[in-house]
Order: sequence, then C-alpha cells, then structure tokens
Amino acid sequence: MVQENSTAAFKASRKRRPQERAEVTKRKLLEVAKRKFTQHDFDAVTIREIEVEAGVQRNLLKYHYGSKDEIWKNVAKDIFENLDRFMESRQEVMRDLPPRERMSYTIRSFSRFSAGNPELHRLMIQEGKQDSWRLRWILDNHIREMADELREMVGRDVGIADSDFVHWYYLFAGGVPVMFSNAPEAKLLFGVDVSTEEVIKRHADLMVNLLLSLSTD
Amino acid sequence: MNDVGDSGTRQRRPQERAEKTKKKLLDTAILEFSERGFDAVTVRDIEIRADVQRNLLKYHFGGKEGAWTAAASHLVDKLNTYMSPRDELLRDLSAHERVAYSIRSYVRYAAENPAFNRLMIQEGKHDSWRMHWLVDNFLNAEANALRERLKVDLGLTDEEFVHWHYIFAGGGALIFSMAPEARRLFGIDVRSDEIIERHAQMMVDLLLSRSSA
Repeated sequence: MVQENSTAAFKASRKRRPQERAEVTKRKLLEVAKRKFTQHDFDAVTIREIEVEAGVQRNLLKYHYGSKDEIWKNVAKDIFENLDRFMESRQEVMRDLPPRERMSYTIRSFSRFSAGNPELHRLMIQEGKQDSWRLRWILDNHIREMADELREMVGRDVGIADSDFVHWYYLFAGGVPVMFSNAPEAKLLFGVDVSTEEVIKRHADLMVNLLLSLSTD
Repeated sequence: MNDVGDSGTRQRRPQERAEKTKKKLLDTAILEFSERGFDAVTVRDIEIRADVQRNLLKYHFGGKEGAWTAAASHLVDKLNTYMSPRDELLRDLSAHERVAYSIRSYVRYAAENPAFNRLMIQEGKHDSWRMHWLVDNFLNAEANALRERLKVDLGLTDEEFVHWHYIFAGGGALIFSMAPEARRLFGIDVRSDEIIERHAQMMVDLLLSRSSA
C-alpha cells in the first residue's frame, strides 16, 4: 500500500523509532492509568499494576511521569483539557445566541461531551467523596472557574438565585452524565444503547426541557 | 455494661457480641465497596477497618462475595422502605403530589445513604455478576414500578422513562455523594436539613415543571 515512499519512510523511521516507541509507551501508561483512576479509589491503584496492564517494563512509569501522584495529575489534566477543548470549540457559536438558547446549547454540549467521555463523571465520583489533595487540585485547576462561569450564566440567563445555584449545579452535573457513565447498566436494564445519536439527543432534549423550566422567583 | 444481672444475659451476651461484630462488618463493607470498588477491596481490609478479628468476615458472610451481597441488600432494602409506603397512604393524593412524594423520599434516602449512589456508579460502569444481581434483585422491579406509576401519573412514554430514570437517580443523589466537594466549592454542609429539603424541592420542580405548567 505504501510501497512508493517506503524508502523515505524507512530512513525517517530509523531516527524516529526510539522516540516514537517512548511516546507510545507514555501514552499507553496514561490510558491504563485513566481507566484505573476512574474505576478505583486512588489508594487502591498501584504503579506496578498500571505498568503490567500497559504491558511495559518495570520502572517506566517513574521514568515517564515521576510518580503515581504525577500520573494522576496527567490523567485529570487530560480529561479536563478534553472538556475545555470541546467547550472552547463551541464558544464561537455560543456568542451569538440569545440567553435561553445559550443555556440550552451549554446543556446539550455537556450532554454530548458526557456521552463520549464517561470518565469525567467517574473521576469526579472517585474524588468527590473525600477531601484530598486531588480534590483540591481538581477544584483549583478546573472546576471552580467553570462553576463560577456557570453560576453567572444560570443567574443571568435563566434567573436561578445564587443561593439555589448549588442545587442547580448538582442537578445538572448528576442528571446529565449518569446515564452515560452507567452505559452497561442501561443496556442490561433497559436494552438501550446510550451511545446512539438518537438516545444522546433525546437525553439532551429532556434535560434542556427540564432545566429551562426551572426557575427560582 | 452492668445493665441487668439476671441469668438471661449470660446466654445472650455472646450472641449480642456476634450481632454487633456482624453489623460493624456490614457497615464497613458498605463503605469499602462503594468507595473503592469491589476489585480493590480485600476481606482483610474490611476486617481491619471494622476492627474485628481475622476470619470473622468469612464466618458471618461466607466471603467477599457474600459481604458485597449483604451490603447491597442492606442499601436496597432501606431504599425500598423509603420508596414504597403503603398504597392507602398515597391513593388520596393527586397524581402530581404522588410523584412529588416519591421524589422527596428518594432525595431524603440519598442524603442519608450517600454510599448507595456511589455503589450504583461503581457497579454501573461495567458488566459483572454484581450488576446482574442489582438488576435482578432490585433495579428491574424498581424501574418497572416507577415506569408504570409515571405512565399513569405523568403520561411518560417508555422511551422518555429511561432518561427520566437517570436524571432522577443522578440529579437526586449526586450532591450527597460529593459532600466534600460541595463543602469546598460552595461552603455548604449537604447533611443539613435545610439543604436536603431545598434539594428535594428543586428536584420536584425540575421533574414536575412540565406537567404543572
């Protein structure tokens, strides 16, 4: 298939290969760590376990990431950067929308993101249950700023009082992603594949419908 | 300590102590399984955290699987007592108020049992014998009952119900599972009656807004 430029590719690969291999190893470690940290308690996960599941040699996690704490930060960073990128790409559309449309677009966006990235909710459930440096890291680096922006939007665009925002926040943060985070359960219990466009759209429709009818007077 | 000196206590005490140990193990198993996930928990972890002697978990529950089943049963039984009051209590309510009652009951239960939502998230993310246990012993019956009630009371279709179910489950409980986050982020104690009741009201408003509009 790639016969024509195989010579050039071969020359390039000679130099690139070790570095590429290192990048692949690094990426593999991150993917396994992401699965582990979103499925189990941080304390229950070991460095060795991640290395074994990633199929890489002992000590390579330390080499690439320094420590368990650091690879956890990389996992969290990766998940939140995905979210940031996703939301940023939608900012341009958002700017020109009237208030209620902007709110509904935000809810739909979060719903779509949650469908494709169930690990965000899983990570938050793991880390939200106890106070730790990780919870503070997530709040300080990502959630606080997002929550502040959301509070302002929800107050301005749909008239939710500041004192009720905490409730609104958890209705939103719980009501949107749990179905996607519990995809295997939804399949078994309801026979529904939550990754289909139809189901994602229906979930967003209902959330928009419900959250926009909610106001505190 | 020195409650009664009659002959009955001599016989009762060892059994009482065994019951106490069993209860301690059960409470600890609920915390461990819901916080750490089944695979990450060992029998020894539970015994140590419960501060009981080695091998007592096996004696009382048969093993790790038995302890998980007992933990899940306990949470589910408690939810059932919250969610299914005798019909005669509810039949004189309007449809709207009947649903509101279920929503409030669930929120109050979730506030008191944050482990429940954590366990459901732990077990909902991959297929396992535990997920089948939950579906067969609890979720199927619960979802069917709720679906039928909402069909009558709110005119919800089967398709809509799936979404409603997860919005109900997640929206009602997340705030309580995230108590430490809520304290840091919003400076509130989610265990206070004021917060619990306000959350229940917001859930009722959220889920019933369309029907009452």
